[in-house]
Amino acid sequence: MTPPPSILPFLANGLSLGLSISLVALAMALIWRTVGIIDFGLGAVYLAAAYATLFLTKGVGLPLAAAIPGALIIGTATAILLYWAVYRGFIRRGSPLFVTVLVSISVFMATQNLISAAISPQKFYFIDTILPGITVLGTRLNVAQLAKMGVSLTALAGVAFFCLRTGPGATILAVADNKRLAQGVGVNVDRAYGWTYGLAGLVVSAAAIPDVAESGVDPFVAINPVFLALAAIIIGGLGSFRNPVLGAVLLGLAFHLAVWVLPASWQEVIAYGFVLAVLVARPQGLFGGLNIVRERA
Amino acid sequence: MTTQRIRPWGRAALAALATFAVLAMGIGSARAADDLPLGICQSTAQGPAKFSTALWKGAEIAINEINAQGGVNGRKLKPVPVDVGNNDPAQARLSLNKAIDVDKIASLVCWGTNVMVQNGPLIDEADIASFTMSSGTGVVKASKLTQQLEAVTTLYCKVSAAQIKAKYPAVKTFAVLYVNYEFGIELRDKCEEEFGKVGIKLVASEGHPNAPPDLRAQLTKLLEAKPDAIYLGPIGGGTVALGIRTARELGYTGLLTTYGAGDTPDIYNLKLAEGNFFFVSNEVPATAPEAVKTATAEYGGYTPAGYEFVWLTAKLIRDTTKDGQPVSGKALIAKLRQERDIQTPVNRYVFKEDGNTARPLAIFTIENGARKLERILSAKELE
Repeated sequence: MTPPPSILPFLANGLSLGLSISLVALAMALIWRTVGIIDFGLGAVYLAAAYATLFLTKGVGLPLAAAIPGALIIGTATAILLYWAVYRGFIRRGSPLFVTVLVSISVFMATQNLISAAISPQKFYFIDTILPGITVLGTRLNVAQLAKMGVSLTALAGVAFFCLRTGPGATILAVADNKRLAQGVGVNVDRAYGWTYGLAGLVVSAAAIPDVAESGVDPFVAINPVFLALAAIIIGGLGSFRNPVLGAVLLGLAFHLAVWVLPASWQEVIAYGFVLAVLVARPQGLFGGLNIVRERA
Repeated sequence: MTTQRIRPWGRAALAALATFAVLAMGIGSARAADDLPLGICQSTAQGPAKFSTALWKGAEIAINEINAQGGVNGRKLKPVPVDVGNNDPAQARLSLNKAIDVDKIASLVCWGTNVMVQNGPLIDEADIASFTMSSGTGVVKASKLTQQLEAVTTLYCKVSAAQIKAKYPAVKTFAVLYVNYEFGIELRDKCEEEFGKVGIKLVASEGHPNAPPDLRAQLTKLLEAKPDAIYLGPIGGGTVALGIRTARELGYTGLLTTYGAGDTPDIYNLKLAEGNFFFVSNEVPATAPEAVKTATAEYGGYTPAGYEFVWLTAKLIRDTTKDGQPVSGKALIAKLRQERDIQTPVNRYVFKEDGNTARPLAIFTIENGARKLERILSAKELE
């Protein structure tokens, strides 16, 4: 029998995939906890940042480093605009969760197909050569993967800093923890939702740019990040904003370690079997259960 | 029980609605009588969206040409999209039922082993002439009225194996990275068979889901077997691009190859595809209509297939009508197989009785953002 290959490359790549998923998971968790929407429409934000990067590099001719701030701004603005133009009305009417979920899925699907019909379903690249990289744990990690890992950890720290050390962040935490109480003490919930969307939009845009630097830009590029993010939240739980990140890392590792010993045809069986097992054993998520106020205390 | 009276404005609205419904039905049936609807499979899903666009564009060119000349027997051709989702047989069945019952399509062009195998009986029952691209060998067994235009799993593997043997003699082993459903599995098995015939041994194979989040785990494993070549067998162009990038990022310098899935702008745009990579796809000779050549360069290798499907359907309808036969799937397919050897404005085909087709194919590499023709294999050579 052939011995299995070294586990290290699978660990490194699994960690990289997990941290990449974690950014969208973090953004989705922010909105879920605070606004109360499972927002698949973040896929539209992802696409806005991805196509903005493509347009600014290939259309305007900016170097990638100069295009990134522009793409981050466009992605963030798209998220805020979606909140004001689409979700706000449904939230004010007190629409049930399944309605807002349907609305957010419609936003995502409509955007995806609009781009496909109006621009092209084809893939475009703003980097089409081998990305520079380094060998880590027996595998080569490229600069986009390393950026995703770095951005993921920075975003987690950044969101924590924003929520714990700034006024708008404090309103997000207050609303996430107890909306009625927050309203009672004078927090402007609508504004807190706006800040949440801005923050989530920034995080999703930061995820999209290194992702599409590696895989290219097409209208379908946001499907995996959004749906894997949801799986990560289910695994990690929503107890704190850190939990979906841990869930994403476990999911990424499950995807890669499944292939380490078993044929790759088992990859999704193992990964989604893991999600199912978590749902059965701990419906609140592996790390769920603690609320943010208690954690902060 | 209370009886509610309808207000005057409500009665007026109902009357207007009823009038509109009657008119709409009348217009619909009048349109159905005048037009000649042709079903063209379409998808907005990640993999198939790219080649379905090409198929539609090619069909549009032929439809515009034919309609500009007065249509077929005085009837204007009308394209009808048949949504197959993400190569989903159930979704395809829903759309196909509507295309048959409501739109009354005269023929169909589609793709996908699972879509065509599971809907083969429906096609036969509805008496629709159907043509299929990019499928496995089971398709023609599931439907008597389906003509396979390109049996990817046998023909393409054979051509790839012959090309590697001739041009890359150092290649003695290969691995397959395939989409993990019946098409990909058949592709893996047939490639093992065809490559084996020319002395190239399969040393590893790994499956991946349709539209995978990444391919690093699969390729890390395949590279452990140190293959001289890797055959990529996904559904659509995007995954081929991901496969090429990941393999090169992981330090693989060997040969990469694929079938018509590589024939989309996804791959033309990828600089990394310019070295040590080729794919087998549909030839568009210099003699083909200019519009087809231009659209193929823009949308990819399924463009001529869309064009030829419409051209063939129009020809078959004219011929069967001339013979005094009704326009039915049985009559059209019987005529096609009876004529057997047909030269379209693009290619020459040999349509066999068993539903398979011998057709020209070509080997392409990528150069300067476009496909570069390396070699043409005629239908005769491939027969």
